[in-house]
Amino acid sequence: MDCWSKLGIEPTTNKRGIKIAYTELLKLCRPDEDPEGFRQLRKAYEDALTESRFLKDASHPPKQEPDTVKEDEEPLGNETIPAVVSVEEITSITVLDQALTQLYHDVDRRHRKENWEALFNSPVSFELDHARAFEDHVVSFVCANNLLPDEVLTAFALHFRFVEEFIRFESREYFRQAQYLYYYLHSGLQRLAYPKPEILPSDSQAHLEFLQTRRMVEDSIIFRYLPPDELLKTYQDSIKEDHELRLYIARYCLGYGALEQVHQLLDSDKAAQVGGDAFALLGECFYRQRLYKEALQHYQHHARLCSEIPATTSKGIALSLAGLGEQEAAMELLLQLVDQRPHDFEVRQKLSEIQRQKIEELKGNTDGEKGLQLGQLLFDVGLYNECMAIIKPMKYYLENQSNPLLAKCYSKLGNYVDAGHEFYYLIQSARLRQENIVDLAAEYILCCELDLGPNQFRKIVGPELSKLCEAARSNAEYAYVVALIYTRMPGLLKVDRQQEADSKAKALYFVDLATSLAPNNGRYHYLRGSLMYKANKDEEAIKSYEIARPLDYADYLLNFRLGMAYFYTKQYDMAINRLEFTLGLNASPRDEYNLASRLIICYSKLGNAEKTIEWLAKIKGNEHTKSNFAHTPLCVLMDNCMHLPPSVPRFLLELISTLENIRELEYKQYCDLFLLLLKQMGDEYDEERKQLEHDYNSQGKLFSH
Amino acid sequence: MILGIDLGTTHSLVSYFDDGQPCLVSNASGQVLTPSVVSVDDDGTILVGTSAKHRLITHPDVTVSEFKRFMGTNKTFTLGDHTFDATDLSSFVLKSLKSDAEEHLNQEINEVCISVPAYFNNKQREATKQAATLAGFTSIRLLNEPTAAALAFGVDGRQSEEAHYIVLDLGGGTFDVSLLEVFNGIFEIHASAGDNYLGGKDFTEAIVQHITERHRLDIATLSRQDKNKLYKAAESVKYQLSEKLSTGISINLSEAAFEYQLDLSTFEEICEKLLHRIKQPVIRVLSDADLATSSITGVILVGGATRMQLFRTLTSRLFKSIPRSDYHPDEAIAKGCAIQAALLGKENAVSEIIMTDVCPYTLGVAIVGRGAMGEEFLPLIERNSTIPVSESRPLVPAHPDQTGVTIQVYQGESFDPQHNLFLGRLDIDLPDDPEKRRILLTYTYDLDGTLEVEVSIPGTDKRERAYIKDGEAHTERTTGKRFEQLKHLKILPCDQQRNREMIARLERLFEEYTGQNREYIGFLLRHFKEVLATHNKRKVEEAFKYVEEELHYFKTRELEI
Repeated sequence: MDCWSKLGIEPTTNKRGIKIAYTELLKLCRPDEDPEGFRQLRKAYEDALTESRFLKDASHPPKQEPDTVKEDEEPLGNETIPAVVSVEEITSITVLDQALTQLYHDVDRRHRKENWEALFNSPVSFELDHARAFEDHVVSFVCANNLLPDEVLTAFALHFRFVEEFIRFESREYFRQAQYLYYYLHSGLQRLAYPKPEILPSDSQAHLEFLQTRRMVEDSIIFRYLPPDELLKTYQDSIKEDHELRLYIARYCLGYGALEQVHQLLDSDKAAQVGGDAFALLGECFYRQRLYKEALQHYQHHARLCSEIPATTSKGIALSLAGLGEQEAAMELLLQLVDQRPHDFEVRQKLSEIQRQKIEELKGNTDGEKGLQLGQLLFDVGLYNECMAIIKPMKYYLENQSNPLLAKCYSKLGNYVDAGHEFYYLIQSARLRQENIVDLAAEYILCCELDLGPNQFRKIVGPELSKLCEAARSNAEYAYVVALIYTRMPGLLKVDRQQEADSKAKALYFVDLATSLAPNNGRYHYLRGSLMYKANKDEEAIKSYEIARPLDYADYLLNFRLGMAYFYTKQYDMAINRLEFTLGLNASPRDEYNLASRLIICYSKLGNAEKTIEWLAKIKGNEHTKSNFAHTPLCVLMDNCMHLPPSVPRFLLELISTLENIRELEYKQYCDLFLLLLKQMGDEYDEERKQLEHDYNSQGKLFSH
Repeated sequence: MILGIDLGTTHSLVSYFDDGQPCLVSNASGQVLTPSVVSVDDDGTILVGTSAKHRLITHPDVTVSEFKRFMGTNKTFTLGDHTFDATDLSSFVLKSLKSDAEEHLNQEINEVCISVPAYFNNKQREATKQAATLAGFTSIRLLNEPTAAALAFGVDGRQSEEAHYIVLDLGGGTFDVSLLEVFNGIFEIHASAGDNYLGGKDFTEAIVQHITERHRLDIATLSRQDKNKLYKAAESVKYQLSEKLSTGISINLSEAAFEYQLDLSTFEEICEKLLHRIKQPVIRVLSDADLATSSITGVILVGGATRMQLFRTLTSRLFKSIPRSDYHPDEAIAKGCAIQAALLGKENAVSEIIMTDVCPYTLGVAIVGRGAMGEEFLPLIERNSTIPVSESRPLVPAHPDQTGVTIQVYQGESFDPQHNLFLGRLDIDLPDDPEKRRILLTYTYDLDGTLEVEVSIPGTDKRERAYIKDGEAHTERTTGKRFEQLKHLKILPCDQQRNREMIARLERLFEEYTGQNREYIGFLLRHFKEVLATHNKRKVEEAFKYVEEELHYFKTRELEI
């Protein structure tokens, strides 16, 4: 029984009609008398309201979008922003945008949270009808430009009740950024490890010299003390031609929004001399001035110069194309880019903008090719429920076309059972038609990987494996799928040791294939990283994980393994960086102990006594320390501690005395070692040594249990 | 007969439905508002209402108010020899209201419909129910406060066939926003949101802070009396600013005396943060219901603190229309409760009305994160779903070799379960056959706000069910035990309340005044106490009248608290 017959009406787009039918029936099944009847009625009512939005109806012209969207699209003109927008003047979203941008580029004011808070409370925030748009705007802006001090980010998070109401943000386009920021604010760690210059040069000249010596330092910290025009002047006045620095300053000016200065530093000829990313930089500059044609030219030129087109350049090309109105071409490029740059807010925004436009155009089509297209678009922008509403009636049409859209919807909505069924039907009917079902099998693996059971595996995947392997040789996605299959296989099927080793080797082979075919794809590298890590190939794991990291900064497993891999390869400073970050990501007490004991070894290897003791003190209270510490970490530690000041071994001995299952003999060994050490150190620790000998002999104080 | 009770932060009211309309019950001192204040007398008797409120100033050590803010928490209040939690204290207020109503209606009543802020979570609701059980009620229904207010307006007969009302309820300590749609005789609550820790008190607090900042006072070093004076002055400034653009008051503290001036625009400035907190839930309700401000038929203000000019300006600015408050804001909720009681009792006058309510928060379960980032919150029943509602979701164990799963039930909106409220857990053994290792989780949320969690394993007939209440703390047994404990406490009977109240009032006035006035009040107090000790009913009555007349002289100068 579908929702319309339940309500007793014909399918309609008339909301009033639906409501009347509902209220009439409600009198027959009151919520307090017939809860089950009410639940069914309510469900039918809500379904009908959802479906009605997608029904074709000539009498209702497509709904006008609220004006906020239009306001957004209005061209700003050629940088005709008034000098400073005062808070009282912010009465529309457009002006708000200007004010946000201005504040972001205002070196003196952007670091004070009061200035941001003033914007949050500007008059436009009182326009309730635009409240969503307002919030979206401010939050997405801050998410996209999160190089702001913690204080500001925290203020903004508090203001929008960001942490408490996380789910509210889930459906928005800036979800990934929000998630990232959320973890950032919560990890409590200084993630942005920008070293602040210890002494800041006072005059511009010294500033430039300073820059030349420390190129590698990120710009935002140092440059914020010097406005771009002054920097440009100093550069032109005093420095010999230095291509690299010129490019560097240009990049900074661009980041600052000083487009005029960029053009002074670079034109097409200069860009050719300077080389590097100069053309891409100019492209971006033109793009910001809304000169899309020029932007496109420069970007394309840059693409021709590169052996392999960088993602930022493809993004520039795509955005410029969109600016020139070539939606189709732009969309194609953007779709590729989303995979490569999952955190890029602009790409996502532009893509969904174009997709939404197309959805508007196609709205009302519920069958045939166009309905399918609409469904696909709805799926792409993440409106899975709406997509279901469209494509569910077209189930058989889809099956005939071997189109797994419906199944993908199910899996996106978390319903793996139905997704599995759909795939099974699809594959069976395709088999009957004797079609090639490699594509479907691959999709199935990608969608339902987490929910794969041995039966499905045998029925659906098994027969296609050889064909998939064949296809994998030239297609990265297939190679990835095959690698996934081989990774999961030993867990799913009962295999002996030989077969397990085989699977592992094959998984490695195919993931290598995938990453060599598509070297920038984060997903592939994530898998490769895990496989390499498990195969103890730490160097390779590091390489892959570092590429995969932008995909999900806050991924616990990734950060953990990356840290460990650095640790095993003896890159202790990198390991510390990762491991400390991982600790901030809700580590369990056991993991906390594991991480901390690695950190202790790292710090002791680096000779940092202070930190070593700090971390030793931290694990002292951990429940796992008592039972586990006596084994591996302790031996390694004892060896390493010997080149640290005696404070460390002493602290360690204290810690040892609290451990549970350490044998007396072992304890004696450690004490002997420590005494030896003190002897070697000479007379100045004589007293220390005597004290310890005394304690040791009396067997009371240190050896407490 | 079913009673309706508005159990408020500062005041409580009791009502019933009769002759087609809701009626309010007056307490022993002839007022419909009974202050939600509890005090313990020197002889161990429990005082509730106005008499207790007077003692807030004279005996603050044994008097407590605003305990509603601590419902459902473990915070305890020590009054003399006794230690109570907020549930116990609320039960005293309910008991007092119950006896007022029984006195008035001349019958024993055991059924009640009590209002709670929409944003009360499961624990707080459970605590309220427990308080009602302790007060001797046997059948208890809870109703969201804004829903009650909306009912009071909707049933008033003044509504049109189709309308959207937005209800803003700013009480002493809580703020609730909800949207009511009236359509074809159906009352549908659409969406509600709120702030559990925002109320009129916070505005008084803001003024006090302003005073102390401007006059360089340190609130921590002030004496108790000075502090009380300061709060009273701030409250009176707040009230006056509801009518005037600016006001001044002279404050005499033991160490300093000064004139304090405040105008409306400065008041707005110092309350900026509070006003923003009012805006947030309003925005949320409108966007949840996908409505523009132009389609709102009327804005209804309820709760005492909505009398503030500041609040009215903000709402008219937000909605671009003048809000309605033709009902007495303090009484709307109690009247709504009476209507709900009538609906429950299937009274003829309301048989045409059907009301549907919503669940004001999201209920979900903690799952293993997809990105292996620890636990994630998976919502099952989204907030503002119309109740009763039932949702199910298939889930699979994170690891194929797992032999059991733990269902951890949470309530809240945060992505990280740690930031949501933990409601309870359910441990399930999985079957040996790995093929069958998947579960179907079903949440059912009924009209009463009770959540039922059911776990079934498809392909087997295994089912586990649990009613999520407040953990193990409030089982039937402990409630019964507490009931026995509290039974021994003596609560002042209705007929003596009036006299006790007079004494409390005189004691308070004695502390407040100086010189001749004080001496005179001391005389009245002594006189009245002496007469009371004689237990002569007629004489007490005369003395009461006499004292009351004398006090009339003071009344013009006395700020009614």
